[in-house]
Amino acid sequence: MNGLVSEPASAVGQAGADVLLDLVGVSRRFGGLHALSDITFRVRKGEVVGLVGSNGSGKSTLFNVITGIYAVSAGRILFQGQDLSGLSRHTIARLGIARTFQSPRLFTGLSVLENAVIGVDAPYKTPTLLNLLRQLWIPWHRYASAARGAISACRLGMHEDRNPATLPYGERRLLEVSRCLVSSPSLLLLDEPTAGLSDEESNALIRLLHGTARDTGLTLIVIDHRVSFIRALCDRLVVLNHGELLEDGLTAAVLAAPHVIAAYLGEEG
Amino acid sequence: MTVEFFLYHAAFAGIAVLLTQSLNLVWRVNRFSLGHHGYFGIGAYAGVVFTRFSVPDGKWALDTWIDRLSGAGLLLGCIGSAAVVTGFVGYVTIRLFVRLREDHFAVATLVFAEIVQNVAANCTYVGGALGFEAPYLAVRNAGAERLWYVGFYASLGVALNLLLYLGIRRLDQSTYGLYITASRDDELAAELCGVDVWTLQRTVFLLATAVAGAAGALFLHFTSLIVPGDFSLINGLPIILYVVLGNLGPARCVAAALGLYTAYEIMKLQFFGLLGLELGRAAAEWKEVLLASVLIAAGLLPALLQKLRCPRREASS
Ligand SMILES: Nc1ncnc2c1ncn2[C@@H]1O[C@H](COP(=O)(O)OP(=O)(O)OP(=O)(O)O)[C@@H](O)[C@H]1O
Ligand SMILES: [Mg+2]
Repeated sequence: MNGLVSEPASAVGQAGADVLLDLVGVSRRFGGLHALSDITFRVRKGEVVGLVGSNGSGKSTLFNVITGIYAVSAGRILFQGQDLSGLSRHTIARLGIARTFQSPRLFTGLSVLENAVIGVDAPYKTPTLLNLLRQLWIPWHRYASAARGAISACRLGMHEDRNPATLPYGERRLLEVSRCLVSSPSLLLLDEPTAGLSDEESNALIRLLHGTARDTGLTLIVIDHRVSFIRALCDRLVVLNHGELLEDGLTAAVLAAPHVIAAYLGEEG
Repeated sequence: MTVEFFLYHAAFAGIAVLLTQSLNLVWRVNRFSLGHHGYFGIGAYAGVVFTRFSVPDGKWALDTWIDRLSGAGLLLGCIGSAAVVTGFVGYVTIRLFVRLREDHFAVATLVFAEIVQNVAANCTYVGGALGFEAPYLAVRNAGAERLWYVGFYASLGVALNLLLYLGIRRLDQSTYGLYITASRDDELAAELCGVDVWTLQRTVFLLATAVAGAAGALFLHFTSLIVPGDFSLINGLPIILYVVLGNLGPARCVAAALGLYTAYEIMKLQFFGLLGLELGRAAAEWKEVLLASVLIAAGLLPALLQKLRCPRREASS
């Protein structure tokens, strides 16, 4: 690792109480393939971290182990000091970790508004018999106002009743983001949010994310291939290369580091 | 005569629709159970045990109104306790099958239902292979009272179905209705939105098997004679067919059940009338083959429609 570049980030990482997410030696193998090897870094509350790296470098896999889709092969993931290993996916989500997927995963049997309502951090999200009998008397419309706020923030308000499958690709991505924001997560993981978005739409997304981060102290980790987007949004960059942590530091410094350019940016042209 | 005939079939259809509505709910949470008839059987046999306990000598006097009212109360108690027992068994079995998904779960439930039938056949306390005869509890199925008898069970079936249907509608209007659809569309995405999909599936399975159990107890007292063969796959198949044809819609599956049940009965009548007694009986015996072919056709229909639609779309574009 380049000492010069990583200096500010590790200084940031020392601030104990402020740490939201703490990855300690996280590895994940798929058979003989080391998708992640010994990844260690910390994310402070309120930080906006970019996660970059070439195709297949393990970025999405890192999101998958954080959200509990895959178990780690080695290492620990701490969220607000709590070890996430062994927790079910919905438990991890309800701790305050929301995410989007590389290709949007919306509920096509539900309308745009209903999709967002799924994100609402409703009481009784564990449908035991008792909870079910209680919730039976509460129509879901009761939870619609929070969902409406989030979808209109993503400028989807006029599509409330549409089937998300009929939306253009960019708006489907935005709907996924708003479904996350509805639950007011403390950590939001975005997997290539600008893929398929126009420049205008990505700028609107940057404004929305900046605004939410400012208002709610939202912490963000963003995977993206668009350097302009990363530069505009992220304070700090983590670079992965073949499953290993190549660099971790302030955005401008990392983007200027020669070995990062060689490993990642170089091939983007 | 015709009214009685109609009510008789209404009572049977009521039981079938109870099973259809509940199985439909199970399938909607991505649990493709093929053993719903097994839970139907558990309910019936739980009803047998309840009946043997509360009417030890197998005779219930129906002389006074008090007798009849308490008999009706006993019947409701029987249905209720069968529901509780079956729901409990359903909960335990789905917990046992926790790791089994999709077709593995389907096969496991199928095998489970087969075991239920076999255990019943070998358990003399519940009548064994010869079956169990239940006493008439509220109305007698004899003479002038026959009409009341079939009417009583038909209305009980309608009432239970109405309750269930309204309950499911309520469910669909609550957030849980959204969770059911969401987890059906994309289980993983629903989980990452904080929905506890596994608990949802367990709870729905518990409720649905409880309903199947209630239907079993109703069946026991309506037919007043049950044999293990009543709870075989052959008798469970129509329910699966109704759910498939209903395409998982709560109202559509009811319509499919009623429509197909009626069509089948009319067909049987037609055969009896047109083909004479022998051939009519033969047609009734081919019921299984008939059902299987409708099931296969139902499976092929979407693919066929797709085939038919595609060239037209190409032509128009
Ligand atoms: N479920 C899996 N089974 C086997 N291999 C996997 C699995 N998931 C990911 N991989 C492998 O792990 C490596 C990292 O994949 P990952 O999707 O994390 O890359 P990425 O950085 O997100 O790439 P991209 O920029 O293309 O999205 C790849 O080689 C991929 O093939
Ligand atoms: Mg990826």
